Amino acid sequence: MPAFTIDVVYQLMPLVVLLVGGLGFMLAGAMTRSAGPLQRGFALATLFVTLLYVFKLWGADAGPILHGMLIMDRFALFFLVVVIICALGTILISNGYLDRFGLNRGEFFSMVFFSTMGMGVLVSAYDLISVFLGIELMSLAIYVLVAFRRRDFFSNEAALKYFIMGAFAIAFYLFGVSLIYGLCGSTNFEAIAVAVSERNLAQQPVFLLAIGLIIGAMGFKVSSVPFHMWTPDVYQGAPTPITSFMATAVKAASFAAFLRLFYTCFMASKDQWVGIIIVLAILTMTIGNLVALVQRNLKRMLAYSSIAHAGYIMVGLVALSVDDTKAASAIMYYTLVYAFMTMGAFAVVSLLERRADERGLEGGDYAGLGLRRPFVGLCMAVFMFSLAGIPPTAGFFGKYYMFSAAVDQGYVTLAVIGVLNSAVSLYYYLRVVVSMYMQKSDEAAPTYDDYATRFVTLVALLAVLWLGIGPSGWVPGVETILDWTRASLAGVLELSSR
Amino acid sequence: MITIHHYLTLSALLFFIGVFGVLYRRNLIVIFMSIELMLNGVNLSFITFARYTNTMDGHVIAFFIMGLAAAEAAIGLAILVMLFRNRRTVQADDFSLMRD
Repeated sequence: MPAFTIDVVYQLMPLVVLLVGGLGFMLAGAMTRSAGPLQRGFALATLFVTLLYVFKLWGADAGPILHGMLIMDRFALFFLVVVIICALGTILISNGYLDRFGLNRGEFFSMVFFSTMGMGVLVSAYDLISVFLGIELMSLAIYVLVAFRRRDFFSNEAALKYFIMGAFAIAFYLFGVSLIYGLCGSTNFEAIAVAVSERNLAQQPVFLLAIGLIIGAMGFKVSSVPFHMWTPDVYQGAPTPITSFMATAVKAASFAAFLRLFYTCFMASKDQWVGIIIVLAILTMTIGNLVALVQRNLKRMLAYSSIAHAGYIMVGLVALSVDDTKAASAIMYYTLVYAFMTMGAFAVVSLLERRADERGLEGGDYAGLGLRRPFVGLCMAVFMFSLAGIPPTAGFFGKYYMFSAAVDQGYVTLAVIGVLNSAVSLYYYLRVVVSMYMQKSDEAAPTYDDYATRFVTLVALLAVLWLGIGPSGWVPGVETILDWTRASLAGVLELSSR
Repeated sequence: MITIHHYLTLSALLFFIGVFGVLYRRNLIVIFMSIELMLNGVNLSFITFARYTNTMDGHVIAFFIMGLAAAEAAIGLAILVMLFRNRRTVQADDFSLMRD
């Protein structure tokens, strides 16, 4: 069977559109000095075209393509939608931000596109090597984006730290892959799953070492605790739209690969690795929340909060099971919800950040924001409530599904630790809200006004409320989204049990 | 007689020399070199396993890794040049503006 038919090209169209967009902006960046409104509109249009292709592919639910390197099934498409929503948000937030910070270059959009394409490869990877290629394509573009404020020492330092740690982590990942390749004779997910069950590799120390190395590298990408040291520094130093891109899209794509890898290949040896993930989840939740308590800088606080949220999602990884897709669908729902609330919070942060120094990011700069800018303040308050997991918001339901899946699988203690952690996190989220509404600002810190960013906060606000309590109808509500996740996971399960 | 174990030992040695280089050297250029060493250790292990399992995948993967290592080096060195222009140093300890 020829590997490269027109049908395969059709399935790859979302990636192709992103690639062509990235190359186009690279060319445009070489010819013009700054990106005008035309280019920005074009960036948004390209992302919408990609979304269109994703929706057209949803019905097909195809099998592996390109000799089992990629698979464009519903699972991949679901996460592709999440990633593209994050990219849209990033481009809208960056609209005013790039002008304010003098970063208005076409390469910015080019790098966002390449990175989004890397995430597309990562979420549709069906081979350890395409996971590697996806991670690298995603990360290499992100390194450049983090360093985009060239004259800024913080941005420089963030790029350096992210680059060295990222390259270090990927080397460990590859070492793990080489061991798996040696044991199974292939790097394809399906072939590995077959080899693991047929040759009973689950007990082999070398196989467990390889899984450990891969967990380490994946843990780095999702900023789980022993591998989280880079996160606060990089999130603080990067330009704010890029911070939001890293906190939402990179995390969603990495968790997608993490989930598929462990669901298809390593389920047979779950008893061996689940202990590691439990320890990592507890450490990630606890340390993330405790350190966030003492942060003054809002970007750093959100960085630690994103570490803590990685911990909550890892509770879902612990509860994975072949018989029940509840945990996996909770992870998918949570990444979507988390993307909206974090994107919104960073959009508000970007409105307050000022040039030259790190002003506008300290807790005191938010004093009185709720009274000075009622709409922005209201949005920020809702995002904080949602991140803390307070009932009518989507953040609560995300945590509820996650922890109830853990309880169903018998990990009651883990769920209790998770709930206690959410209680701790209330303190630092509510501190922002208190500061916005209860404190008087002695000096009126200026905030920027920017319609695109305000639009992002509005959409994120509606999504956070609708995904929590909205009934399913014309706009998909919670039940519809959970149905979609179940539909996507059916394909993954079928392939893994074959 | 050189067996698969010799190759694997060599590849693990290369990898861990790289790991120690990253952890203990303070010059950023040496750290980059150590990362390359780690990747080459991995390459050797892929080639060894390719010969051992009689499949071609490992050879192809080694090429992928070389290509990606080159791309990574290009971006890493660009970041390094940018740092040196701004700060006139390439010692890792000098880059610690952000602390808790």
